[in-house]
Amino acid sequence: MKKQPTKKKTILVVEDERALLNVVNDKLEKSGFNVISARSVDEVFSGATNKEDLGGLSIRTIYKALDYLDDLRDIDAIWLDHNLLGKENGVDLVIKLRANGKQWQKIPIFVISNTENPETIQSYLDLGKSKYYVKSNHRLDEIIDDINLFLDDANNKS
Amino acid sequence: MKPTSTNRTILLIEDERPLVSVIKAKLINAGFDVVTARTIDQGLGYMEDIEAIEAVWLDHYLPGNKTGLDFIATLKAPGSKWVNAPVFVVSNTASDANLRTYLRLGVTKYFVKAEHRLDEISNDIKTFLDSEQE
Repeated sequence: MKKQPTKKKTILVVEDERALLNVVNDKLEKSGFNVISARSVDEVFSGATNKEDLGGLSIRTIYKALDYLDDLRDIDAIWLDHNLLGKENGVDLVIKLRANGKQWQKIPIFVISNTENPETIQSYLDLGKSKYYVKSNHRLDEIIDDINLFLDDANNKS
Repeated sequence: MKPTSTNRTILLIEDERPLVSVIKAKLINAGFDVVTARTIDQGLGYMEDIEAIEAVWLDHYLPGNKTGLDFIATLKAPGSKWVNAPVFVVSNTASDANLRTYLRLGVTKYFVKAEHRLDEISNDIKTFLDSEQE
């Protein structure tokens, strides 16, 4: 059994496939995370409703993600899919985050994507503290365990 | 409570990225929520993890040693909880032997890609699932 951390870690999940997102949210919550999300404009819920009423909130477009990040100061990690709704992808999100001041430069980003393209993977790695998982090579539980280990380890070092 | 959707969820197993984007868009237009996988094992993993999946769009040729036939063989194995799950094979690999094997293993329908438009297939799947429910 994993020890419960003294303070719940908060993870932001950005994934365009709703059914997958729901399962990832559930699994992360069961694993002890506070999961944050927001729906894109085509979703029914407003941002405010999301935060109060929904255990998990998901972000399906970049702009929605950036909106929420401005409000959120306590994110410990980001779960990011590469292909998202809209024209922009995960790389665009990371570039914008990194440009948005120091607080975002330290947050570990776990990119979980179907894309095996070496150039895409390299662009994430070039952008700093990111880890890349090809979806087809890992089960979801395996990735979540890995994220937990990574964060616990980072915690012990600091 | 979490975000919910009344859309049916379909698992799309296809490895060619440009094709994935197009098929995904057609399926969304037809009213589906789509989850994509590019290998057989990833697809089987999602079947385990994502209970919402109601149907599968399956390509025949995929990366690695396994083909769509391996997926079906596992999914429809005796005693499997997915014996009744509707699976639609969409492929150009319409050798008679393959086609017969798919149907024998319990595939709902086999579409030859070149003979149908992708939106037509998407709508056809939707209609099939809706009629099953009635």
